[in-house]
Amino acid sequence: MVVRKSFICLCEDVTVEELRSAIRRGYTDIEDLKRITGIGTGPCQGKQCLHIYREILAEETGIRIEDMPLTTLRPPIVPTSFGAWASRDDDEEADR
Amino acid sequence: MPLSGEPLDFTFNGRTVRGYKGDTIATALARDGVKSFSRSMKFHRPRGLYCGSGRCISCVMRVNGVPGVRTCGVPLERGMVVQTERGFPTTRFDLLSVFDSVFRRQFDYHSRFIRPTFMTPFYQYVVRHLASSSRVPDSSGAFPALERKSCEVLIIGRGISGSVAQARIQKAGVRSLIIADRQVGNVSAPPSTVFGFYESGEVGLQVGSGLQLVKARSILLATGREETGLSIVNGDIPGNMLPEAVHQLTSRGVSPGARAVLVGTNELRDRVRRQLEAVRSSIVAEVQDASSVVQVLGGRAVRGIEYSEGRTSKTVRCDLVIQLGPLVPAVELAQQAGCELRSSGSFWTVRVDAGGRTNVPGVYACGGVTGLIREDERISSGEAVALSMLRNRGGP
Amino acid sequence: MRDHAQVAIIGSGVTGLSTAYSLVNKGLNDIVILEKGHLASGASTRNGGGVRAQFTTEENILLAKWSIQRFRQLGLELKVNFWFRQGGYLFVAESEQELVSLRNAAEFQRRFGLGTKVIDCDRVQEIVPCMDCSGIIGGSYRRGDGILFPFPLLIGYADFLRSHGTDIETHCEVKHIAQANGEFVLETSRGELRVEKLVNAGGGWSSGVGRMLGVNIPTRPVRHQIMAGEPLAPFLKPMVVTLRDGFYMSQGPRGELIGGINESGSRGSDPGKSSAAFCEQFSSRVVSLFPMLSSARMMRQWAGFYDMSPDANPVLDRMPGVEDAFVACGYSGHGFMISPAVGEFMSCLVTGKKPPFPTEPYRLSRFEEGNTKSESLVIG
Repeated sequence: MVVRKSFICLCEDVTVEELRSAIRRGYTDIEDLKRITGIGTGPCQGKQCLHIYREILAEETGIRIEDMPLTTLRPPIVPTSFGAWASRDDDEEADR
Repeated sequence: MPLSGEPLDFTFNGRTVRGYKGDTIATALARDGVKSFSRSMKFHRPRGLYCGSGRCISCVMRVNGVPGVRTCGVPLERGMVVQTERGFPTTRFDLLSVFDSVFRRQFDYHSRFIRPTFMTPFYQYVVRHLASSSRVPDSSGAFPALERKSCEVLIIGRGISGSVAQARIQKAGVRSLIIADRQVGNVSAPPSTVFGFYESGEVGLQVGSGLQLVKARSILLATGREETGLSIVNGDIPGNMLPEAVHQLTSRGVSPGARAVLVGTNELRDRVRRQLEAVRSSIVAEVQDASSVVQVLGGRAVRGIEYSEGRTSKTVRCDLVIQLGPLVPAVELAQQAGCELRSSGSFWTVRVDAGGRTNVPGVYACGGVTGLIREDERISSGEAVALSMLRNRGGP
Repeated sequence: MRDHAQVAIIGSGVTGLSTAYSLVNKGLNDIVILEKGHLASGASTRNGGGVRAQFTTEENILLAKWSIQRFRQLGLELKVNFWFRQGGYLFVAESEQELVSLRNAAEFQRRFGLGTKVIDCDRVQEIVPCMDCSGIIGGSYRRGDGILFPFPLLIGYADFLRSHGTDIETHCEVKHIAQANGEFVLETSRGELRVEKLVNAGGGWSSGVGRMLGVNIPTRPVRHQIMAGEPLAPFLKPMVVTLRDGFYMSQGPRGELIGGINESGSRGSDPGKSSAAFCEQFSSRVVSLFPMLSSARMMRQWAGFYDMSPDANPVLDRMPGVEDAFVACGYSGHGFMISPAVGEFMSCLVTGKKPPFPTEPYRLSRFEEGNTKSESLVIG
């Protein structure tokens, strides 16, 4: 049996409880919550959690969801291989 | 319909498994009965095929010596060597899941392992190995050369509104057109995923294993809406799925589970029902209000769900929990492009004028990403914005 | 927000937080930290966490060496784990000229008791088994350098400060500073604050804050990009740095690759934007130095400012001509790693004590006087 846990962030294994603790410590800005708990910073870059966390933040603080800013969603939104970025045509390679 | 393609044998953790042409690695494994695809970072809980759209890491495995491969996004090939990553000694029986038992509510590892200081290197060693997944790739890979391209129109998304817009634009004779869509299995073209908007105005596209940087005179964001899950208790273990994962499995003739429970509600419910019916899964309960779920029951995989109904609590045996969370407009690329977003209820959407123009010159948006929900509205949006783009082309 | 305090610190980055921490430990806690963005929204939450003492000027070496000792204790004091891993910094030389400069640097560092070793290619290969050393002729290595994870330290500071009576006001921009009746009157986006002493810890915005007081601070923000790769099992112990192009890379506490490069070509100025050129240049280096990583993936790129001073050494001084105003900036890409020392230095200036470092080398007026020795090991 797994232990009863509900998750906000699957990549970083952040439980809803951990998020609530951070909010109760006074951190209500997503930029702070990301850095304290790690939500949104794992390999999926927030695709599963950056919507759901807002409901929990609204519950805890009464801040309206509409007033919660989006965090910066940076490229690449899917992971890209270093080799693909570095790959050049043989011709270009010879010129370099 | 079961897949009738040619059989493709591959190895999974050393044993031979049969899949078929048209499978993704994930669907082939699921057909074989594999449930634990991976283990989670801190607690080493089992995770299985969950989102089916490359937007989580629950199905990630090491493929042909390359770590971190989203198996739901890779077409199966004969001879592939597939291995699970985290888990000691194995992913199926992972001793490190003791962390799940020891840390019962949360594991904020930034507030732990501070004392005694002489243990610091040991603590760091443990956490680094616990948290990290797979080893460095076995060998250097070969990649197609990075390509730079330009075109007149780039359409991002081939959903309802994107397809309509594409048809309208092509009908008007525009040849220099690139359409990108990330879903595997779109029949007419291989998946090409837009991954970023850069300062230079270039848009990054991932096509197969190679990358392209595209400069387009006009860009249409038809990225639509994304499925989301629910943060219910134990909603992370194998057997929990989003509709896209159900779709991926059933379209390959794989049953996602014999006894399904639908939790929450969104527009995809009817499609999910139909797909489950087609593979003869039965829906044993529908819990529309996700907050009434007490917990999903199970250890290595889902085996039931407990929820409250009125003042009583019900426990239902099931092996599949389908999470119907809200569909959220996919605004990531719009944000990178510099588009203004506006709040629409509890969602951020792309702000557009009547002609589908965003505040960024040359960038348009249509369909679900602008906040439209009804199918007929999204269709006419695709049509209208395509016409607007053609009008603003500035001459032949 | 309060309307009066003894000290205002402009900037909630690691400089401001560290300075406040040192002040509180000296018994002064009537402090308001003013931050125009979210907590530590400048370089402090955007850097790669590198910590080294391998520098080429006494100014940087003294502060870095002291700071590394403090990093080992700070976790205990703040009850946080910021994963300070002393896996070393390995600078690699790809030419004879580079090796000579590393040799000179190492010799200079040894004068301060640092055990930096100049090593040959074989030893480089031993330290980084997965690296392709075919273009490398040697390097310099110091085991005590390393990498930390910035966020828990910043939060640790913030929690401590708040629980000791210091206010941290975020989303509160200082628009105007006037002086009246021996006080500073700060007009902010959230109201007025009057204080007796003022510390400019504005990071990339320090020059602008200086202008509000009529002081010329010749530091400039320069955008540097950085990326994180997907987590991998630990394989890279040190921070590897190349001199030719300032490429650097290491692994964070979760195994994620962290790294950057000194971009060639035109450089953008908006930290909110990203360039494809960075990805190409960085990846080229990754793949040539670590061929096995060609199938490893970049998962995110972002950017922040280096507050560049003309000689790449910090500015730690009173603001000339303005009594009770102080400035700490100009870290040129190595601010986080010297922040414990900077905090102590500045708290001494504010409270009128003598800092445990010589103060002359960090004075603002040195740029006008034209007598400065430049730091040459600027990375990324």
